[in-house]
Amino acid sequence: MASLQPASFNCDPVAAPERSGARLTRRAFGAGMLAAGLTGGHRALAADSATIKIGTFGPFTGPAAGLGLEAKKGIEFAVAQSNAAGGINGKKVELVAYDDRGNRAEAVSVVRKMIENDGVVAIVGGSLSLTSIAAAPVINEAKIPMVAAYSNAVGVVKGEDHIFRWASVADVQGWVLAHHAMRERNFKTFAILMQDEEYGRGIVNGAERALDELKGKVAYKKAFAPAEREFRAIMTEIKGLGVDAVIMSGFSPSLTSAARTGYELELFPKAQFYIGCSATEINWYNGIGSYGQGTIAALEFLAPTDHPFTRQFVADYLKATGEKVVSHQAGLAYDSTRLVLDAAKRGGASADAIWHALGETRSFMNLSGVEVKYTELREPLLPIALASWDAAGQQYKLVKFEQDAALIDPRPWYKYYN
Amino acid sequence: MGIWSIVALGLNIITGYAGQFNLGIGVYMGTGAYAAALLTTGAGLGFWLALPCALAAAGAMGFVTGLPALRVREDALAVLTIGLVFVFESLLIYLPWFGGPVGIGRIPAAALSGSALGKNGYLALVLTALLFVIALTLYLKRAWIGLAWAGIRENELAADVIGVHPARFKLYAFTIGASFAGLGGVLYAHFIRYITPYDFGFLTSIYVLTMIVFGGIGTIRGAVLGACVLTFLPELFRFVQDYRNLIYGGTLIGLMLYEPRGLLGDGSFVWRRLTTRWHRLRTAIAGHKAAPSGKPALAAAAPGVQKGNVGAPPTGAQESLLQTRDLSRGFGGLLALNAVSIEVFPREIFGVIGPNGAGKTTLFNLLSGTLPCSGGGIRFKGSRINGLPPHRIAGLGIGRTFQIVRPFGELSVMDNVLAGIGSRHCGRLVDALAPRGRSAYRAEARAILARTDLGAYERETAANLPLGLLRRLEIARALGLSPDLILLDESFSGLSHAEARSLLDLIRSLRAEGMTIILIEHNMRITMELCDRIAVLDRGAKIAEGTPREIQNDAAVIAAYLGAEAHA
Amino acid sequence: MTLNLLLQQLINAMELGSIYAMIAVGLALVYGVLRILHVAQAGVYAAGAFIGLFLYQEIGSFPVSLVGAMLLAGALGMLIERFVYRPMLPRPRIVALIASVGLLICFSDIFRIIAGPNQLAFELPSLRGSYEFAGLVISRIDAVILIGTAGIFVLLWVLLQKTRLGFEIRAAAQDLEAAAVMGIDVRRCVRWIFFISSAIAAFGGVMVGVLYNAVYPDMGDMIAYKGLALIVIGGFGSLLGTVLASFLLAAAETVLTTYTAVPLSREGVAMLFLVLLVLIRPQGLLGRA
Repeated sequence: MASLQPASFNCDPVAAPERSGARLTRRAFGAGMLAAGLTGGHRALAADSATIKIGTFGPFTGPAAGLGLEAKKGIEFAVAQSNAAGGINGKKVELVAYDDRGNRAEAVSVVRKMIENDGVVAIVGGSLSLTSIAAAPVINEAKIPMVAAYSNAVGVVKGEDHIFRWASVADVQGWVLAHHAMRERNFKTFAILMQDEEYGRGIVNGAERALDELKGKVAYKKAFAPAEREFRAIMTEIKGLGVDAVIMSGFSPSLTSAARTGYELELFPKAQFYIGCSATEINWYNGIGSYGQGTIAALEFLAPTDHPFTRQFVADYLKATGEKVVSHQAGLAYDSTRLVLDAAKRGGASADAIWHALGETRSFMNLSGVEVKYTELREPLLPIALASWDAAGQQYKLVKFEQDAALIDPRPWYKYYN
Repeated sequence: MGIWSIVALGLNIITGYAGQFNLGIGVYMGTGAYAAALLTTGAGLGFWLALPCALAAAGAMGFVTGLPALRVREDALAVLTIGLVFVFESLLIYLPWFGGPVGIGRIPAAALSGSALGKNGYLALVLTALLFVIALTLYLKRAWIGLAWAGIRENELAADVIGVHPARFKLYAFTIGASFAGLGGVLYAHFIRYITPYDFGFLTSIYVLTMIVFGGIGTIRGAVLGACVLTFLPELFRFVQDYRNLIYGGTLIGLMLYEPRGLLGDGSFVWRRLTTRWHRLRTAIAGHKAAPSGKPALAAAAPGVQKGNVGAPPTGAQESLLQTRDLSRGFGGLLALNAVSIEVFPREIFGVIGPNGAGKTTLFNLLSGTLPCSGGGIRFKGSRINGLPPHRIAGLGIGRTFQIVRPFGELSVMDNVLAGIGSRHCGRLVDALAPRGRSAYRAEARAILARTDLGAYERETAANLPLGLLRRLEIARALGLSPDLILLDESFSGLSHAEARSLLDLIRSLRAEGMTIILIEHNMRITMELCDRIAVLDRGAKIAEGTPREIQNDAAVIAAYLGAEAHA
Repeated sequence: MTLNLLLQQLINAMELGSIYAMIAVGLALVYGVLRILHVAQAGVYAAGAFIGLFLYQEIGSFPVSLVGAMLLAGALGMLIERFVYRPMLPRPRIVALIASVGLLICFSDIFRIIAGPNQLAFELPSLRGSYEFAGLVISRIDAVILIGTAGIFVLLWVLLQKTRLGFEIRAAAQDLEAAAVMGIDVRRCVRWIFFISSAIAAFGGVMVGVLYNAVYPDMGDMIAYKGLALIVIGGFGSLLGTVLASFLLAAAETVLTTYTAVPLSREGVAMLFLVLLVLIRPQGLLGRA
């Protein structure tokens, strides 16, 4: 049974939950009880077993394998860390991982398998946006909580009351970038490059609305397909237009190519290059080479920072995996796993307990040492780390953590998506 | 998995039956899926209403994409369909009313009388649909349309000259196959209940193609098996899940190397084993029936043919049946046929001879419509026929055989002949959909087979026959058209003496029945013996025309041949 | 648009066109003689990039690595011909196509297993920077690509027109059986064709790897199908047509994706061209009817 206990992380049971939130948790609580009653002993059994089984799925093979494997690294590290510290309330954590090959039907089927055959009590990490959206209804129906780590599409969480997100909504990133460009740097004219799929469109949506509001001018806007690497012609044209800044959404291969081309043509750093959270994927680190100095990215966390927790984490991660770089997926997946395990510690080892505890989470510290609040939409009020790329040190340096609620609130963006 | 079987069967019709390489089946599946999705989510139509609309949409898409496919040949077709599927996927992503890259979600479940079909209910629905599609496919295969498709697949040119309208039947294949695939798409959409443009792209299309090739292209069992195996394969290999793609690719290669007909294709190792076991089982159960007699000796097979019946050669005062005037055909700078004018009268046996390269086959090609003429005209039964496509000309009553035989290799002898008969009677779609199993036309086919001494080989696969029999099969097939005029291109080549005599008698008996025959021959003796009149071509021009006697004594002819036999 | 910008974009398009042409020419060569759609060429292309990168990391000399990659890829191409395609020659063409697709899938997965799923860097400090003249900027890499491609095509032309082997290849492309009957060692021709087209593809792969500083398992994917489109547009088997088609397509892509808002990706544009061209002129630009 779920009971509120103070934990080592700043869950704040004293703070009054917002009205709708309270209603939600109460309703969810009731539903959870009903479900527990209906399914009889199944979940009770799971709660009593010797380990806490959590599951993850993602693309481990196929074109997006890089992302999935990185996420798995982060999750495995979190699990190992937890087990090394004694587990959750004395129980060890067991991880079940399935490859969905980036294929939606596959995702649906492995999720079913995870829930029915393996009996996982929670799912962490999630997968790409498309696969997560496909799997979400199944997970939700089975009343298993999931914390999606690196899908930024609204559709993953919206309407599925067991799905939480540990990442920003894409639109927020664009919104923040555009505000920085206009308010902090006084840029006036922009070029926009949009990766034409859900995530890319989201970022640009946020950016465009900000520019609209702040009366910025968009001199050039082009869309491109996700695997695109050829940007020379477009960058040439943008250079000719003489804009102040370029805002681009995309996955790291495209970001990297565009950055390199832009710097080679000397469009940058004269103009400022702004990119979204994929900037910390492995492909960027591998591909950017000596270019990219001064590119500003909107990230969901930053490692390393000066915070002691972060520094320790980076050191431990290096020791465990041999990786100096904490990639985007790894970091987010790590945090999402920590969150779930923390919820288990607070609430109990069953699916409902975890779900309930997740819903009660008022604040959680991410690996950058920043406190994050949850909203009633199960979206976090995730501070955006604006970071600048240091080519000499081959890492991102913090510019600032954007914590202004007006900028990072994900809730206003829900109205754009059905 | 049932869903994929349905889509695979759709592709099977287009590629397997009609032989049109379509690498973009995803387009049709996607059309069906998106149509259904848009109708049910956007327009609020119920599943059962949306279904036929979606099917119609898919079929229409098949038709539309089939049109350009008519103009291109095999390899270009494959690449064209690849291009189409990429364009389709692109359009789905970029045009907003398709929901963009996220696709369409929250598609309502199919409902039966108000309540949504659960998992089992849907499974039942899919299985029903699958059975329906299988039954329909079987039916089509046995109907005349299936024969037409087989003909086009085996040898399109031959099909054309016996009157099968290739374009029309190809379009049928595209439309029907696309509808099946669209059905699969609709079921898919309501099963996953969330579709994106990436679901129906090139990879999906190749996936389906792999299914039918894996299982056995052109067979129903192959399509279903392929779909089942390939859907389950990833599951089976989950324990080596890291290497799944590698195994998949390797399987494809291995299969193509060792069993390209597919696991259960006709003639594959597995299938042959299964069928021989099945036959043994059947005969064991039914008791021994008399084994079919071996091939009868040639002489014994020629009872009904009268010898020595030459029939009366036509008198001169008749209206000509076929008339060419200054017929020419050029290839680049070379004039293969140069202003040739001939006139052939009904019930005549007319010979065309000349040295190699004289243009004889070109003349036949022009007469049968296989090649267009560059100049001059052809009149048949009073009306112009130059410029008409081969199947039209065949329909008007001209049949032909080819110098290099073009049988429908994979079909039985009976089916080869039926093709000719069928095109005459069942050209329209409505007739084409009739089954040919018990048709009255079979009797007609049997009669033709009897005349050409092929009766004993009725069930034999054409590709297994020796050349002599194949030549007779060509004639038999052309006879199926019940033509008024038949063009025989070197039918006597490669025949033994006895076979040649039989053929001679056959030709004479055909003439006795009222047919006119034009033949190209190199064998002088036969030509002189058989023909009423002869035209001689040399280097594209007619250098002589007349009775055999006249030709033999013609100086120009002798000069052209330089040493041709001077005696009959 | 200023003249300067136009010229600059033209240069950009030419560089893109060179890359396309390199892949497509190899495909056209193979198709011309064997009538096989050698989709797996893209796998050889990627293999070339990986081999080149590996050699460069071991040896440190780029020219040597490049040549080494070309030779090894050529050998790889010959192996493919010998063990995969040759047994399939008497079978219907779709068999070879499917096997080719299977090969491509295998290649991608092998690369992923060996080298990991992420892209690898292929940075050449010696090729950084650019040349400037008359206000136009050509990066060093682009210059190498353009010159290299031109050089390769010149060599190819000389080979085909002026040498005995080239003559044999052209004869075989016209009519395989007749050539064999005439005493041409067709097998040898075919081996050489695969060697040449694979080597050219490897050159392309290495150059593209350096250009984008990215060598990754799926790099062959789009090239595979765009290459097919190019040989159809160019006219099956016509090398000159294929080259022409490559540059035209690159130019069209450049213009359309940079300046217009067509609802299609770059690949979509390429495929749309394919479809339109097949409708209007089924024999391709320079193909024979």
